[in-house]
Amino acid sequence: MMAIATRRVDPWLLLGTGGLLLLGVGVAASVGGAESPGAPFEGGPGARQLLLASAGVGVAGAASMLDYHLLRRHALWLYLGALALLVAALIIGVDIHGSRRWLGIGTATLQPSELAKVAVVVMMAALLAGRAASATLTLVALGVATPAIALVVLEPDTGTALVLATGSLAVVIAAGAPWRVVASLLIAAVAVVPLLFAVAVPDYQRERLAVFVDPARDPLGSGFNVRQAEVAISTGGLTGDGLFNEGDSSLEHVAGRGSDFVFAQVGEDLGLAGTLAILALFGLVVWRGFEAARAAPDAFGQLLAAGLTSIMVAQAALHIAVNVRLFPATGITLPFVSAGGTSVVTVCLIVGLLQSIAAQRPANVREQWTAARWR
Amino acid sequence: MTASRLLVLRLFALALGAALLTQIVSLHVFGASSLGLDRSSGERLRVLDVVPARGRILDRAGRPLAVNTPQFIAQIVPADLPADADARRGALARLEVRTGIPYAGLERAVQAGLASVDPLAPIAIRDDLTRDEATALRAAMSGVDGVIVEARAQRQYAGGDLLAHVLGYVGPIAAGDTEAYLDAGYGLDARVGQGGVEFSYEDALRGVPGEDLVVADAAGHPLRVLEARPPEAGADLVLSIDLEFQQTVRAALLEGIAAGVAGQEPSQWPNPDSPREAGAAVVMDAHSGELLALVSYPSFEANLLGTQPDDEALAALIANPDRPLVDRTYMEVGAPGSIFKPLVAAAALQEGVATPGTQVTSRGLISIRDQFQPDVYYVFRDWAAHGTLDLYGGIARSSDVYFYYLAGGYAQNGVQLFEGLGNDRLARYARAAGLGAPTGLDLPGEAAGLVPDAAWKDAAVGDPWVLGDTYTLGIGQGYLAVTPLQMAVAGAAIANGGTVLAPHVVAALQRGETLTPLGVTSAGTLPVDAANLAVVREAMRRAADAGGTALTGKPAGMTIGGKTGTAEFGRPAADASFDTHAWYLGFAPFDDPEVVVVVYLEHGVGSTHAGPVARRIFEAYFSRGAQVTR
Repeated sequence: MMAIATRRVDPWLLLGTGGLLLLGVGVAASVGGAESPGAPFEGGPGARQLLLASAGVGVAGAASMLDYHLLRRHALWLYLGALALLVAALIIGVDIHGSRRWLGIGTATLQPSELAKVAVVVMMAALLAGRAASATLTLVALGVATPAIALVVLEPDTGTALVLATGSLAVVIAAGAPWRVVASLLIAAVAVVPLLFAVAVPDYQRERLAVFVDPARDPLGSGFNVRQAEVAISTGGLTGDGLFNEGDSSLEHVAGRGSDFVFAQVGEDLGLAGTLAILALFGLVVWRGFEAARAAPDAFGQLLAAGLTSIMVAQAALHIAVNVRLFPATGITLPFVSAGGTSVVTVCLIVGLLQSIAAQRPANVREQWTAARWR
Repeated sequence: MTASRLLVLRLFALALGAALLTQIVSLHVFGASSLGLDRSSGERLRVLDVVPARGRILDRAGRPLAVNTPQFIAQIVPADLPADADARRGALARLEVRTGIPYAGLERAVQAGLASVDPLAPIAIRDDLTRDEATALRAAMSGVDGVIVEARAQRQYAGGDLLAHVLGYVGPIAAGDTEAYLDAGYGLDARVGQGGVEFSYEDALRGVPGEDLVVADAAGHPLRVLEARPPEAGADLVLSIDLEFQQTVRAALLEGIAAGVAGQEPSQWPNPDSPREAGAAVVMDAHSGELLALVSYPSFEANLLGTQPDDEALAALIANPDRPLVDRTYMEVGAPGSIFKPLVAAAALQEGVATPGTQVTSRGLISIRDQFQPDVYYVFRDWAAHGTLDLYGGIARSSDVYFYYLAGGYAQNGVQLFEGLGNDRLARYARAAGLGAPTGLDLPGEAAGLVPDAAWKDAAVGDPWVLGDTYTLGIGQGYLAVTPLQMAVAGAAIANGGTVLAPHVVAALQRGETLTPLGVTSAGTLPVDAANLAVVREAMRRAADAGGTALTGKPAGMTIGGKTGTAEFGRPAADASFDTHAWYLGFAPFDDPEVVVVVYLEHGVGSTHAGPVARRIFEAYFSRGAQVTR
């Protein structure tokens, strides 16, 4: 039977995305409420996040209308554009806390590494789709990701680099890379990491790793932050102390309270209920993402959906792992929830693309029946 | 894409989720009990700021100039006192016995506090308890809510009014600066450096605040510390100034000030605020820019502005017409007079306007014709008819006519007899020597001064620049305005071979036993060849030798370079004479200059009054040399 391309909304994807965005607005307002009690939404982080979430919904809507095949045609230009922005960030970027991750545009800032995540996956999917998987092709595809990862490492932004690396590995695995190649790469990585650690890892990263191993060792306060995140989640208990409570937060003095430590903030405010909700909503989004990959009508759509979903998995997992002390302190945002304009808009763009792929899945029997009935 | 490949990705995501879920649940469910937090009794977590001890300020020899002493304060919190009238009366009665404050006064303070906007705001009733009194009071009032006895760090300054300007003070954050300090992590009630090195080295003195994550009871009292980030104590500042040497310099300056005021006829004071007993002395290392003494008079008692400012004394200080709060070494400007001449000579030599042998004859005055009215002449006087002098003699005798020539040249009947530097070239050299801009001193509020030029005069005065302006600039008068410190920097550049130094009062930061010297900072180079600077130094040697005007600054048995200045200011008296500032600029030893001295007296004559001050400073410097350079 012929596949019918209809514009259909994936309700589960929509639900997961909306839930996470709303939670993000709530937490931002909570952080802002601590600064101006009584009016959490007037100006400040709450209003800003609401605006960002709305913009994100708009971007997602626009992207979902798009025929994703358009991306394949322009993949190279998207990819080169993203690399150019990364280089620009290094050269003329805004230096915040010793890291050049942002491009200043008027009063706003743009984080090119966020856009690079999408561009790299698009480029790799375009390269791999329709070609027979081989060791050479796998290495070429990973070679496409390498410059982007290297530029992000230089910023330095280890967290985003890790996400990019995991995402690109997921794309080649989905494309059928020979297992022996994947295994060799992983073994090589394990062998190279100690060497890199000795030569190329900046002192602050080494310090963070040391702090992770021994939080009492704390010259820079990074261990204090990690410990505070852990304490915040612990004190949250089952239901937390509410989004707009007026008591002290143990995260009060943590700089990335609304971004890099937003999961801990939710844990403190909403307790286990809140953190489980985040996990469940992400489960929903990821499930629908992989579902879109399975049902996509062509290889490009499949690889694109699998890659974009894996990017989200990697980033969310990394953020939560840092917050619950399963991973060394690394500044990385929680998709949808963390404050941070480019982060929110990018992840909404990803959802929009997933929706665009999902919309072209072959209709199932019930949908065909419904369509026939309303014809 | 095969289904098995997608399955691998799904399983990977699932595994990550499961691992995270386990850790999340265990933290939420068991975390609180592992912290020992009893939420049912209202225990909660608090983050407390831990303020580090502020760094001390030491003099060059390590003598403490600013230290932290504990101040014991008794406070009452009106709303926390026992609500029961009898219990409160009893508590206040005990407080009366312990603090010596009459019961009626305490009662009044409590009632006023209760009626105020914030009855929870603590009211300080005594801030001068001794340690023993504080201990006794604490014991006597234990069990009574609403009475707080606590120790605070108070800044205590040594040296009386010797170093008040340099040290500055510590005080509450001014209203306009609140935002900036809050952004830098200060609390609203923080005390921060205000003026002097307390201000300019605030970051180093402050240290790095710490934090304690504590379990607190329902009322917010900390019960135990969960996690501590200890503060990092502030660094001690080691000044380049030696307290004893500063004292000696100040004594010499005071004598000079008194002599300068006494030396001028009282009938001559044509200016309403004269005579003012004021002056300044700068002693600077000629190679490093370290200030060995920086004396400004009048001064004020350093502790006056400290932790507990005395409002009346403060008001008197601000209203004092002698403006003791102004440091005359670097905040106030005046015309340097003839101590500017060595710089003019250096510029003239470098530009080829003059050679050491250039001869000019001074008959006591020169006159020039008005540019627009041919029958109007202006007369520019010399202080004596010196006869014919070469460049050495021009400086040694401080001939004004000689420097009118070097600066503005001389023409007669339309024939240019002598080509001068002209205003633009002269101004360029003056600026290269550090005049007209702050020197980069590590103290706040430095004056820029002014090196005048045609554009400035047109804009500020509204008149065109004329030859007469160049003449007066050539002898360091007119619109030229400098600080004594700027003249020390310019003098050091001549003495050290052309390096224009950024002077500083802090020599090093000390953390524990580690001393971090701040090093030499140069603001630029005076573009004059070494040979030409040597000529200027030789001329200054002759000035400070027999027959020179600056001989009064030379200690016996020592060769120095010197130059006096006597700058007219204010309104002329009936006999057309002016009040004068007295200046002395000197360096020593002549062969390998170590130290530059600038003396400035608000009233006096350079040679007569400022010179002897410089001589005493040189004598003191060389008799204690070993101790000063530690």
